[in-house]
Amino acid sequence: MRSIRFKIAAVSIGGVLIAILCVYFASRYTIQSEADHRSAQTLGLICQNTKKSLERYVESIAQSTEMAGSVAVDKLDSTVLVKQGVVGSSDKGSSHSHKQSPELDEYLLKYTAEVQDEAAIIASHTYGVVAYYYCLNPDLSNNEHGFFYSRAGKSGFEERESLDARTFDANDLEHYMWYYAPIQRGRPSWVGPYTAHFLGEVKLCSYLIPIYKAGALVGVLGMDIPVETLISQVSSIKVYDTGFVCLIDEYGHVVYHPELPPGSALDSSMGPDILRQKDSGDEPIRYTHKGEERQLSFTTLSNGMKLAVIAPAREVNASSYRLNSMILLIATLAVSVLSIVALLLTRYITNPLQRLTAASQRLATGDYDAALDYKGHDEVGALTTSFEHMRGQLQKNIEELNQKALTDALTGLPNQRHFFDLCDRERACLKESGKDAALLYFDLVDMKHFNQQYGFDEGDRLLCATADILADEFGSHRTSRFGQDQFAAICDLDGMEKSLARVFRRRQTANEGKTLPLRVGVYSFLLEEVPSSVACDRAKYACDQQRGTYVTGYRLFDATMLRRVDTVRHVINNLDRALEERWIQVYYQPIVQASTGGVCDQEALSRWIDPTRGFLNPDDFIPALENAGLVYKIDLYVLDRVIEKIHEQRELGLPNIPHSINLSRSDFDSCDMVEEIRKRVDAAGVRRSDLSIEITESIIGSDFDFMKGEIDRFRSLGFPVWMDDFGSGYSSLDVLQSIEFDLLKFDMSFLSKFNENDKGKTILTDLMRMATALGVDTICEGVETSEQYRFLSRIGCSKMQGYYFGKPMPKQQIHERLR
Amino acid sequence: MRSFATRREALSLLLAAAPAVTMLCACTPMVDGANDPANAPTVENGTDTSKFVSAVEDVPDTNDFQCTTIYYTVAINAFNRLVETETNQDGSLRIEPSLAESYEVSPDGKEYTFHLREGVKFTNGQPLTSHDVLYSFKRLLTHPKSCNRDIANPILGADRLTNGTAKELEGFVIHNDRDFTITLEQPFEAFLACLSMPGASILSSKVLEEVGDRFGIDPQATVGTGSFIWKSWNPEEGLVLTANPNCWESPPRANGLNLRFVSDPEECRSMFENGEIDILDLDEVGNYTEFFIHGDIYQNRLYKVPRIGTVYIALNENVTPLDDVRVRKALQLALDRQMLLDAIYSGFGSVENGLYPHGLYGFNPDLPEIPFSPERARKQLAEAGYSDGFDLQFSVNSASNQRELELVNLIVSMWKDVGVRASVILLDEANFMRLRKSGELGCYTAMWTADYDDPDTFAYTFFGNKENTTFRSLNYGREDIMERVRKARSIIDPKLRLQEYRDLERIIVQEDAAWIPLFSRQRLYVLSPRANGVQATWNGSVKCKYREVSIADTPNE
Repeated sequence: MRSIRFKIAAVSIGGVLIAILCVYFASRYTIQSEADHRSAQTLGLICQNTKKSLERYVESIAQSTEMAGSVAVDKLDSTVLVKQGVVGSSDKGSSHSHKQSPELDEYLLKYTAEVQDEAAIIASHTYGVVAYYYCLNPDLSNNEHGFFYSRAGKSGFEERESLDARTFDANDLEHYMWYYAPIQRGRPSWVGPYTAHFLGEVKLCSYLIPIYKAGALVGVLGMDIPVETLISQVSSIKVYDTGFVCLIDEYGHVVYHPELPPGSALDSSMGPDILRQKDSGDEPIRYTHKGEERQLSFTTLSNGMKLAVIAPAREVNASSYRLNSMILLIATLAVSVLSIVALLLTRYITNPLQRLTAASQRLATGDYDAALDYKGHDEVGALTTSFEHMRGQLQKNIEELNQKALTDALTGLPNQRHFFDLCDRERACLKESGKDAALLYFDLVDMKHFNQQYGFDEGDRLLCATADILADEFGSHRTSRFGQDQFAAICDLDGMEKSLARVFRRRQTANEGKTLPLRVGVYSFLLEEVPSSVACDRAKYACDQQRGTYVTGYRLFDATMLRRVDTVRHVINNLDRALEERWIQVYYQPIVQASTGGVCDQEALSRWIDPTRGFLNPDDFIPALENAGLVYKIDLYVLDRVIEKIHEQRELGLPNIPHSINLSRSDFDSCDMVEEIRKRVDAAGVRRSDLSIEITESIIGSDFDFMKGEIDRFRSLGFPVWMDDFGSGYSSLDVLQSIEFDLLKFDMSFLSKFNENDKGKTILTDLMRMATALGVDTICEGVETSEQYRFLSRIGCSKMQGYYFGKPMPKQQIHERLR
Repeated sequence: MRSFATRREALSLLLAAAPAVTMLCACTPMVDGANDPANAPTVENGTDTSKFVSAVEDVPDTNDFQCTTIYYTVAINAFNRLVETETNQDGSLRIEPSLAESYEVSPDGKEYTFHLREGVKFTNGQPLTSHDVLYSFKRLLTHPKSCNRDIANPILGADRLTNGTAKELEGFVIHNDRDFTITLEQPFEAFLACLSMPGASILSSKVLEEVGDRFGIDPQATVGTGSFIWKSWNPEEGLVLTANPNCWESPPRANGLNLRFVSDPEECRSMFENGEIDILDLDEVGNYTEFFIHGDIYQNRLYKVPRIGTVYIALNENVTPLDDVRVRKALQLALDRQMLLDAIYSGFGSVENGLYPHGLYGFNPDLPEIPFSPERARKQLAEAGYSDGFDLQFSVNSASNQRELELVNLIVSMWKDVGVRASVILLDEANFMRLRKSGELGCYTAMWTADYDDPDTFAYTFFGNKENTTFRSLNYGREDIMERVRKARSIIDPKLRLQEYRDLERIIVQEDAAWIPLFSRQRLYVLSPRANGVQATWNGSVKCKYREVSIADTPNE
């Protein structure tokens, strides 16, 4: 997982980096563009300044020549020319033949002399002119050719032999372009540089004017300047450190270049078309010369030559290079500084957040104490404050929840789970102090009825009063309410009895006398060091042993109970295995008809024959399984065995004697027992009337209406229902009034003191009479003697069961008996 | 109209109202890229003129087209006429509707009913109405400085309005804002052609009532309906006109006109070579013309159009021996006029033998040639009793240019060959004009260009009546001929009318030798590489077609 700090820092630094890179490259581009522009401007400026200087010179020549040209035109006499046929032909604009005449020669001589006079004055006042001349069109005259003057030292001009155009070679442009070029162009123009052999092979530039009259060419008038004069004006110019100025002719050939010979090309790397433009404009022109990048700016002089300023690019752009380096340095520094600032700022911003995160992580582990001292007035500050508030609230809620989870809401005593923890500590304390611990289990007797009698509020008050007494006696941290009316406490075994005595005494007056008996079970850890929960269970077991009594007292869990408990655990843990491996066997005890002494019914009874523990009495496992809600498995198992037996009897041809099976209360909670039995019986093809259902009167009382309904369902399906153990408990005659049974089975207790007194006999006698009166059949169980048999027969008991007639026996034995 | 023998007048006429043409008048010459328009000025008086048509212009004394016979540049570009004269493909001319979208002429040729175009507005937003047209004609007739009354004179009641005996122009009846009828005193076939003259431009009556004499002087007070809006007038620099974006015809192709006041030929040449001028009339550069004609640089950018005008020699019949027709014929025969044209103007033009130059309606190609025959000239002189010749004063305006002086010298030289001893008398312009108007100049040369496409523009101007012939120092003596000239104007049948004018021409020039026609010239322009769509009107003026010229971003190659 990437932290927010990392992300913010990464984004910030990334942003800074991108921004600075953008600025850097934009700056670099701008600087480069500006530098290019400025360098082009700078070189252009040098170029223009140099041009101005040269142009002043060149233009003065042109102006002077133009002036002389105007003289040459103005002094032409149209009349003479017309009369001599020089002009006037309708063949406009071209030279034409005419008759040579002395008059024309004479006129031309005079005319050229006049022109020369003025041209001499003009030329002498013009700086740099080395020659001026007027070369007449040879078509005009064979004799007059014009004039030609060249500078002779500093003194002035001297006349030279006039230039006879008839001798010119039109193909020799190197030497005669000065004559033919202006005629071809038809207008004044510069010519050159060219080699003027008539002036000693010197390189010249000439401004030349074709002189026309009425469309006819009269001649060419011009003035010359030496190229050297132009060169001298540029050769000394230094551009930057090693740059220079050069001159190029209109065809791109070098006129002057400090590194190249005249006539050579400037540089092929520049491209052939660049110098054909009028000037270099605002964009820099760069080319490479012998590995060196150079920048060039050029312009065109009015004489057609190109003036070029050339400098190494590194010199021209030195400032931009420095600026670029500086910007790179600044950008690097800026990235570094801003990255550090971004990191610090991120750290500053996210530190409270990070601490908040750490605090939340510690909170997740239950640590509420992580320091949070950020008080900034920003979102993180608000979040921190909210978090603190939330953490406090959470802590408070959890403490309250813990309180509720660990204590009993009504009494405030530790609850069961918390009590066990406290017990462990207390036991350790007692042990450390050399004392023995005892765990006490308290049960208020018949709280249910108390609530029904006084209401729940009063009941709660009784519970609180009891709690107060116990807490007061044993200490609130050693006392617990387990639920409903059960309490527990741990104490020093030695003082236990005294403490209990005080408790019992105070109980009597508690809650303004509205109280209940308190049964107590005690487990001494001297018996066995077991976990507190186990000890509590055993104390409860001891307490429960007093069930059925309505008195205050306590009972100590002893070795017998320990064994019983052990058996119960064994039974529950091994029930399924016992059923599967037929450790459970069904025994059948015959029930005889009193009148005949013949077997009329058989009660199926389960017997647990444990491979390790031997024979277990039903009292050893039936109650345990009832409490565990598992007895239905055994009861249905017994039913299945009975059905098997009935089939076997049929197959063996034995008499079909009905059977009875016993059901427990919990059977009805575990499944729809009525339907389950019906299905199995019907499926086996057994007559329903051949299977009687024995239900003890005790289970009817627990949920009268429900059980009444179930009994009615059995009976309506055709199953006889017997009330078992009638008279063993709190038998209510009301039951007999409300529920119809097919038979009452008197508990064997009526016969237990048969020989000691007659009370039992009297009761039995009356009960028999009552049953007879009700029309209900009767069985008396526990018949062991003939005397009992006779007595019962006499008082009208129709069926009897007991050892006198036979003990419960395995299926095979009874089969034998039936045979 | 006047004839102008002075250089200034002649030049102005060349620029303003050149003779009719019969040649192609719209062409876009191929040009090369020698000049650099980047050198052209781009800001004039705060206005970006980089996309303006730039040309040379004479400094006007007024741009009130009713009060000038020369300076019509503002009139033809910032104003419109009821009709315009346009050239057909075959070179013939036609009258095209302009501000009047249609018109009808009554069978008797006297009533012209016009219907103004709907939606035409002056550049101040006011709509054009019939009242503006009436106001324009009334002002033309009544303004004290009006120079163009001739245009409106044929209208019924024009004389009475001019002399103050009437307050309204009787022949002008307004039907509504857009319809009106003009009734003429007598039929005049050239009336519509006259209405296409710059002096007949229509102005706003409301504006004129507000600005008064500032009209033609103050650009803001000179509001028209034309393609351009006169923006500024700097006497030292020139005129600037901006495009009228709401022009009823459609906006012009260029953003405006930058008309430079340059008179020095060298400066004109230099400005053109520097790209500061888009259209250069080679008459402006004098001897430098040769530099644009020869060689190959400008060949594709030369624009040649005939000008409808005749260079002539006036002979004063009041001066002895010019009163003798034989003498006058001798002077005609002594001149090699083709030679004169070639020697002075390099042959750009045509020799003329009558009154009406090549290209003008009524030009007679069958007119007999006036031959160059010194022998016959001498014979004529001998017959007239001047075998030894005679002395003659040839008056020349001192403002004449070099070429005009050379022309005179050559004429004198040719006459000298037959014995006529002509002496050149240089007169200052004012004196020259005074003497000419009073009929006292013995002999002079000048050029007359057609104002409208009709022989009447020559015949009536020079020989319409005694005043006219005196005004030109001709002093033509034949009243019967002048009477026929006047009557010719009102001949309704075109064929008969044309025949009458040709007969009169033959009588005046060839029989009476009342003047010596020399030649009509060709007009030469050179164009900048960025100028496209240059056209000329019927009389060879490119000024009237400035609206068709566009300025390219990059020079044409």
